[in-house]
Amino acid sequence: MHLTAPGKVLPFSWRVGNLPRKTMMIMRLTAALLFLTCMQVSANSFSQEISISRIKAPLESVFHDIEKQSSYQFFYKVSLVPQFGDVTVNLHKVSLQDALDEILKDYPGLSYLIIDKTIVIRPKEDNDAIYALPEVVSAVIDITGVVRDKTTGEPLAGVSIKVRGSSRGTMTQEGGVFSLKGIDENAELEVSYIGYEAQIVKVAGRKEINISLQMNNNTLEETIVTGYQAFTNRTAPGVIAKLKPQDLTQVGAVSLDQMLDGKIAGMVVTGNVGNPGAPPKIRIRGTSSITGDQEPIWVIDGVIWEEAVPVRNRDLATLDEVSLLTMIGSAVAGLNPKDIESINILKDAAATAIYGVRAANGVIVVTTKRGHEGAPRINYSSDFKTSLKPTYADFQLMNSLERVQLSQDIINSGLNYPIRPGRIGFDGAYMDLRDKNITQEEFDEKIAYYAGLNTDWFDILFRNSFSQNHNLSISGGAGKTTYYFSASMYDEKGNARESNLKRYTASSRLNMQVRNNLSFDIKVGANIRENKGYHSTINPFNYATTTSRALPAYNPDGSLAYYDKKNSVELNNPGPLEFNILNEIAETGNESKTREMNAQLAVRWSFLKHFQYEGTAFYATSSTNVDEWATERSYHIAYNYRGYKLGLFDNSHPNVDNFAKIPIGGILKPYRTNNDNYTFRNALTFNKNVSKKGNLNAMLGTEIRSVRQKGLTQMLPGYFPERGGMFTIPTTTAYKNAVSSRDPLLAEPKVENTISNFVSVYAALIYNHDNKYIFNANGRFDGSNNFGKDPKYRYLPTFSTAFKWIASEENFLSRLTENNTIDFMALNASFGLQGNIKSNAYPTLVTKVNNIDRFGNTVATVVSLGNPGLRWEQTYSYNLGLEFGLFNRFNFRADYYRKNGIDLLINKLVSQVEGRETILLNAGDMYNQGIELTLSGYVVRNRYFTWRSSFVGANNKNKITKAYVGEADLNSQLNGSAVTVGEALGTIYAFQFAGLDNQGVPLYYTNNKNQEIARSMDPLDRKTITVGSLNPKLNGGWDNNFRYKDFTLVVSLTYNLGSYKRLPPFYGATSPTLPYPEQNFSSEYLKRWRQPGDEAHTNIPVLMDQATSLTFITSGGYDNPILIADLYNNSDLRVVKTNYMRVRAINLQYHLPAKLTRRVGASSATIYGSAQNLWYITSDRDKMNGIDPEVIGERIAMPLPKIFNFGVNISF
Amino acid sequence: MNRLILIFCAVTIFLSSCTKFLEETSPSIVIPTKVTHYSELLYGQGYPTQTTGYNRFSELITDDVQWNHLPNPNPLYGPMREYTRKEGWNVFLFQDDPELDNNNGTDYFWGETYKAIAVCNVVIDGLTNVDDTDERLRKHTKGQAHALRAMHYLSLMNMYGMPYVPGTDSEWGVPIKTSPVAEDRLYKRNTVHEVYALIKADIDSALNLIDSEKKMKLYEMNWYAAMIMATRINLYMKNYDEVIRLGEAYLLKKSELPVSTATLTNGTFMGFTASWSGVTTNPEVVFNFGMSPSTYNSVYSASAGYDAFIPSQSLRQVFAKSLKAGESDQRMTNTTGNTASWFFAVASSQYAPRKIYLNNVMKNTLRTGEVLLNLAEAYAEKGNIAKAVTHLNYLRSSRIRNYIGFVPADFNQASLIEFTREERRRELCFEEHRLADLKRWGMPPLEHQVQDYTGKYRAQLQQGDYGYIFQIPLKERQLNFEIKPIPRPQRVIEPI
Repeated sequence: MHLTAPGKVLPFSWRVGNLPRKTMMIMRLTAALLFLTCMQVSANSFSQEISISRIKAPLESVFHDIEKQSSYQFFYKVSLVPQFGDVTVNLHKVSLQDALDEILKDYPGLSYLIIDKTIVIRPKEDNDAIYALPEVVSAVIDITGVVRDKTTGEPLAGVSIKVRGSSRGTMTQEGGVFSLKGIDENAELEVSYIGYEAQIVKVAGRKEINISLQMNNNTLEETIVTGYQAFTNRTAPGVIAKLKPQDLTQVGAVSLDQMLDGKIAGMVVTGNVGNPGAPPKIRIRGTSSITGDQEPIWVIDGVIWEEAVPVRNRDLATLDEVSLLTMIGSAVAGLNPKDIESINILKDAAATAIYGVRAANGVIVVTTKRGHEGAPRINYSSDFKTSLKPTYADFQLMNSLERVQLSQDIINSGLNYPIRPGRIGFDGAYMDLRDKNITQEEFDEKIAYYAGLNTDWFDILFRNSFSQNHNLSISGGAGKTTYYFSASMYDEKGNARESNLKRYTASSRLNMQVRNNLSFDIKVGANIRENKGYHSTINPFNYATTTSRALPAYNPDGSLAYYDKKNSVELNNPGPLEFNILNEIAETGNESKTREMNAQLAVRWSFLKHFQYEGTAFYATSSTNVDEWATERSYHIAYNYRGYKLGLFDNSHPNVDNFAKIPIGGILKPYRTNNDNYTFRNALTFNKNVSKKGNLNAMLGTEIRSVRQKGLTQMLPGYFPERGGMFTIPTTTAYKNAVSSRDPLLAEPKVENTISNFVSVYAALIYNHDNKYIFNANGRFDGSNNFGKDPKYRYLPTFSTAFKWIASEENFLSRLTENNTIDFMALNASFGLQGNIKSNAYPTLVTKVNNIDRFGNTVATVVSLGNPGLRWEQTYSYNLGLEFGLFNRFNFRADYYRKNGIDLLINKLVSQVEGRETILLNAGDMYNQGIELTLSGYVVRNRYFTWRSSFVGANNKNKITKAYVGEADLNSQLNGSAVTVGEALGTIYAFQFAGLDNQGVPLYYTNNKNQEIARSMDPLDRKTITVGSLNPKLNGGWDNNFRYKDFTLVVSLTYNLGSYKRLPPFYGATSPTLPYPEQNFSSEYLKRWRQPGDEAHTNIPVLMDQATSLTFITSGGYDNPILIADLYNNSDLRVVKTNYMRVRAINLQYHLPAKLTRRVGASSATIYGSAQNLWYITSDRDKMNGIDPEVIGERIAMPLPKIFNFGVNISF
Repeated sequence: MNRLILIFCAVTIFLSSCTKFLEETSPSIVIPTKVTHYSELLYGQGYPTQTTGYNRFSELITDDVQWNHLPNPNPLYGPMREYTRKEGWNVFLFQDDPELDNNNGTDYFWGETYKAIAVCNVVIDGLTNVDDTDERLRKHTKGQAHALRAMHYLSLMNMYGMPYVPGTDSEWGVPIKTSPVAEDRLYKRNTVHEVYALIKADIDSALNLIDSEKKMKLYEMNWYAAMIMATRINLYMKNYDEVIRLGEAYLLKKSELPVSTATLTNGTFMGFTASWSGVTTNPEVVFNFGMSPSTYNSVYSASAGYDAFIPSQSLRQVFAKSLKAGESDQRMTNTTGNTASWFFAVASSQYAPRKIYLNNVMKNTLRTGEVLLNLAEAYAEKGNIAKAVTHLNYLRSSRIRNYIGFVPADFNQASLIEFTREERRRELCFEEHRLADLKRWGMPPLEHQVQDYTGKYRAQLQQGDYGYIFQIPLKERQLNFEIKPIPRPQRVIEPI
């Protein structure tokens, strides 16, 4: 370890001075030597015999050789270095002393002294003693000064001034003045200020220092990290967008993925449904695969983090997978957002090719914080959040009076229910009156009660929630060893009363520069997440929006009010079933706990001048327990497993044996999964200035990754949580029959066991000529065990090439660059070819081991029949970009991209003679193209006030150019999964509504020549029109950052234009059934057709039951008509254009004055308040019926809640 | 530099071990390489399971079923189950595209059968050149796959094809797929002779390959089952000599029938107790397969007091018709003379076919009784009255109490053929034989009547009517327009 090198500064100065501060000096030196000794303990100890043979080598390098061969360190002052020349030595196994004598004999001015394990080199005249080192000490002085803007000369307040290498520092006051007392006269000051280039100013004994800061074009010199390489923004060849934590304004969001909406041009984040922990869908530059993986990959400090629930195509996820995703979260759910230093989003092929096949959907690279040299810095922050519950004002739903009136109308019009409704609420009272169980007076009384009830289900099931987040971090460093520790606690209460997410994280990171050419980065992290939610049969939001308000939650006496829910004859249930949502919530539950640990070791070793080796080892393990349970008192058990309400039959009653699969106890459904994965990577970099101006950087690397997943699913009947988790396994005939017939409600335990292995080799080459022309090529081979024994399918090359021309470096622009009109201008172009896979696409026959059946036979089932034609999907990407910076104030970047997806895998519906419904074929071509725009800069920047604004926008056009799959079926047309040539993926189709007829029945345009407008149509000659795509044409965000003195206000807007979504179904069932007494209906029904003539001013059909609706359509003479409900729900009337602009967040922050903070011993403190989702404008508000346009098409369409945060951030 | 070399050596060693690293497959996912992998797969998905139980409708097109309208239905449940009517009526009344009005919209039987065929195909292909030492098991498993494929194609033909007529081919077969890999193409119907040629070749291969010495397992395709299928296939193809050769060979190895006493109680004749193990009590059952899903009950519902399909009067009469004074057929009436019997149950005052009435058991069996009937029919067709009567007497003596029996002089060839056909109807009712039998016996005219609270209706089939043949599902025809639809005429439903 070199203590000194030319141009470098010792941690404390050692130079000739004349102030005799002897004692202090001795202490310092002793401390230094002590420190060195300690360090030595960890260094390798070699033989004390020295052998060196060097010809005309720099003296320093000879010292270095000795250090390597002995356990000694050299120690000398900077001023001696110029005296060092070249030396020629030839020593063979001599003692240290002899060696030193020999080496220094050509240096008459130098002598040496050995103290413990340190060799002090010093001038001859200091020969007297070690104590004669007074020159080590320098003077301590007080300084004052003013900081000004270089161009305007205006003084700057709030500029941070730190003494380098110490924790000392201050801020400039009004007038830009600052003062620092008692600092070393040779200290260096780090001067930094937002929007200005940081400077290092040497004090050099001056007592008054005036500093001028140059406004910077902040982003150009920032480091861009791809996980494997690092560039500056200026020289990065690919399209990489960078975010810093302060850009993530959604302060209350629990996990990182939820904060990215509207921040990056070309990145669309959807499905952010306000459920704690639920991961959103992220698309970078459109959707690049139809059936294959669509999600970008997450790379944390260079390592891919795997999804806890491996769903890489969320569009095709099953409901079970969605529910697990909601409970467990995405790959980065366990990452504490406060630990993030920066986020880089890799967009084009040039940036992502190095990640190979999995990166075709983009890569999100997260760099976490590390410690910095200097005294410990402690940061504490806490955030408190309240989120407002939804209310009836947000939805168009009937109140209880309207609902009772609707029941009355149904009775009066003589319509029928297909299944007899229960004796519930008003309808029950009516039945009682009809059956003469009650008198007219009693009936009137009941009507008045129900009509005035107005139960507020939102109030009963939701709350204004309160959440908190605390984070503590300590970082610092001694010499070249830095550390960072953090711990955090997050507790979010969801708006739904039972949902709750707790997360605890801890992480530590140690960076050690062991030698000049050897460093280690050691990282260990752990987190625990506890998520509490609802049983999968309960959706409180759905319940609140669909349940009649004329139904009580509580009886007048305060007890829970039950009603008989679906005493369905179809299920042969022998008795009534009682339901109350509050009971149901109390008697069921769903809890998950995830524990994650990861450790990472990276070593970086430079050798042979131009080479650098970097090795990374990463291991992560996580285990998740999800317990879903229901007790015997729940309706879920009564309805599905018992068939009658608890206690209706004595256990000896024959119904118990015949019907009750689980006569006593409830059910516990545990899900356990363990995920272990490791990554080893070796990378060798060669970096050399190959010519006077040309620099070549070449990298070759290998990587192996293995992901092992083990899961266990069970369903345990007879569960008694209240009795300490005891089980009573049922013995009834109904249970035995259900088990022997493999009733899915009592599924057998299942262990899921998978290993995915990947081997990759990658290479990257960058040639930089004079910082003007940058050429880059990347390539990677990936192999995976997913493709079986045939090596033909195992490897797929990925490559990219990019060229960047930094025009601002050219002489002919020098006039513009010198006066800062243009401070940067570059053009870049890239091209790449990438493969993508569908994780479970196999070209060969693959089977899955299944349960041993009830006869004791081993059973296997088909996972995939042979499909030898299967190939990788390929994506050819092109990117053309222009970036420039103006007046040192504005940055502009525009990119045009086109991604041609070739041979995309499509599930083609095939003849069932194939023995499968679909065959996966490389049958589709699709392109995505668009323009991305990022504009940022200082609109206003002066002494007190700055306004920084950044606008991102991107359009995306997706088009399927080839799809050899035949005509899309009706279902996929309606749900947006149709693959049709000439249309975009995600295009939704609709039936064309043609008004109501004079009976109030909706009419549609058909393809039938005889009947252009009809009440229904045959699926074969149906007519559908395209309405638009689910994906936006244009989206992005606009962030504004205003700073006035110590106040900062951030206003973040996001916008989305040109997407279409379908409204929630008007009719809940496939045929228009009437609302059952317990159901609420949309208040749209109030405007329904009631009498001939109404069709002129309403589009809401007449009230009809199943039978009349069938009569209406069969009168059309079709064999197999599409039902009224399907037609109306999927008509163009029920599609909305989801154009919106939303005020995502407003955030006001106050930086407390230093005077105040110093009084409490803190170095700085900030308080802030923020509001989110305050307001949005949308183009189709009338049709949306109060539903938030952003979530309208989602499966759980809960509006984004209004959220208010308050927090503090203190540094010590 | 030495270190550099060292690193590259390490990298090289590491890369050379990649092959193994990448070959490892996950424990629960297997790329089949061993015979046992294939036998597990065949067992898992190559058998007829009728998971979705659509084939139940094949009985509805025959004369074994009638519609029973209850004058006083159970008031709790209303006059009838909507879906019983919707699913069943259109088949029962010979409508042109019956599955279109089905709630599920799809005829699952078609697709599920081809799925099982696909598994047989990959097993046959995979076992042709698998590298495994267990040659005996390899042959046996391959033989099982052939036998199963023959069964699947035969049941497809019974549903969707014209019967086999020697010497006269017909275009109304079903598409053949024997390739193990995905082929993105359209399939035409193969001719009836082409399909039967495949079926015949498959069953012949099966008999060559299946290990006849292997211990019989009831729920696995075995030598006896393959032999029964072989007699049936040859009977359908009118190769009577072959039926006789195979049938007699079978009887030499296995001829035991249940004795006609009370050892078999009601319903256990076929082994159809609530649990599968009951099958083992009947010595003539050699193969038990299929699954009777609970939805079967929705059509032949007798428990809850719905309007339902029940065994027809003509079927019930045909039992009584053959009896001599003092004889009592336990298939129709039980030991105590009640109407509840081996084959029929009575619940809520309606008949129900016991063979498909119980839930949660594998509904189908192959059994010795069929061999006797196949032989009797073959002998009758060949004019060997004595042999035929011997086999019929042997069968009937185990079914009928106080059996007196017949002598050859009781019949001429025509009346014997008639009698064997009736005996076949009695013995094999509700085992998915009747439709195939009616078809190969010339597709006679047929009338079905229904009734609901709005009135009484009927529909008729003419002699040789295309209405005997199920339409290949619309879902298939929409994707595969090479499939020619059966010209089933639009059938009038007349009020009576």
